[in-house]
Amino acid sequence: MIRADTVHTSVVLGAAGFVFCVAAVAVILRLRQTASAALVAITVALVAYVTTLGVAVGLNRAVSFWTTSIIFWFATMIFLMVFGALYKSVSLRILVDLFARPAQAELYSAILQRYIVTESFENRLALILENKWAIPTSAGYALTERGEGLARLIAALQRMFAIQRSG
Amino acid sequence: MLSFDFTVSGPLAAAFVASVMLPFCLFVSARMPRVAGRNALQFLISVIVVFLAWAGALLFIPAAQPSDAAEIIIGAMAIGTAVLFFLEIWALLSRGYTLGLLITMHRSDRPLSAPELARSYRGGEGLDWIMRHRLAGLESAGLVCRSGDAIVLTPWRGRTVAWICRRAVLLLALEATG
Repeated sequence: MIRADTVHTSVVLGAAGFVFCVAAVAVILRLRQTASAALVAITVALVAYVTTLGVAVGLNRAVSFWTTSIIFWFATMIFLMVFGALYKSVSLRILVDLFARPAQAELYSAILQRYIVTESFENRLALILENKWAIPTSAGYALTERGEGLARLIAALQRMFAIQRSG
Repeated sequence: MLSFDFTVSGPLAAAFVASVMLPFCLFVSARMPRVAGRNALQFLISVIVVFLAWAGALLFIPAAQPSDAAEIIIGAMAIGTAVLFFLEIWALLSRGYTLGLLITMHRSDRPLSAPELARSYRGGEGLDWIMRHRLAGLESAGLVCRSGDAIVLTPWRGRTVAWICRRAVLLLALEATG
């Protein structure tokens, strides 16, 4: 059985690590030039975790590795879920866009054309090209070897979990 | 002096085992005819099974029995972390827009232009499908409603959620979202 003061120290340490992670993500996202926001968030989370463990080693007090790690990662996973939704969710983007419109309303066709067909689609296509998953050719966009590999992996995982169609 | 205690309590060990079961539960629930094609429900069923298995272990396996409430809370959080991790992957596999585009290219036997890619999306349903699918979700959550040809934020729930999202987007400097 782990002692109560060890649990207490570990909980405080894990929670402090999480707060540091969120603050660091918010600051670095403001300073970043070109790096992808998702990559920044994941990298910062990993660095914050290692820093938390480093602080634990330097504390000279008994700390439960598992309690610290679980408190940190449970909170951080919730944060990353929310972050991912804010960053890439089509639904939340529609909500935020509607909020900025007069009377908080817009025509269905206008949202479809401006956001889904143009902006969001072009962003995704740019991301695919940026990651070198596809290249533009005279006949259209063609998957690279890297893109084929990723697509095969996704298709295999979808088959494994009987996900017939995604999107 | 290394101050880490790596002791794994019984409830935590049971939580780790239960977490590892989650993809296997998903594999099985995805093949249950009554929930075929309902990805969110399949995931929920798997999560419930995992938590029930863990609770069963705490009750009936002597080595997994908790000595205090903290062990139960930490164990539940360990499973929660695993659930969130798999949920991220599951959401990408079942709802990922970018991955959906990649799969569309993969299934085509030739390069696709941007308009062809948009038309072929999701087995030929096109990008309009995303709009219909996401709006249906927003409507059923009571966040938007229709007024003729327009989509309108609902006065309380829709505006409140949109306001919170807007603040969070600004706080995280995520101007280019979606």
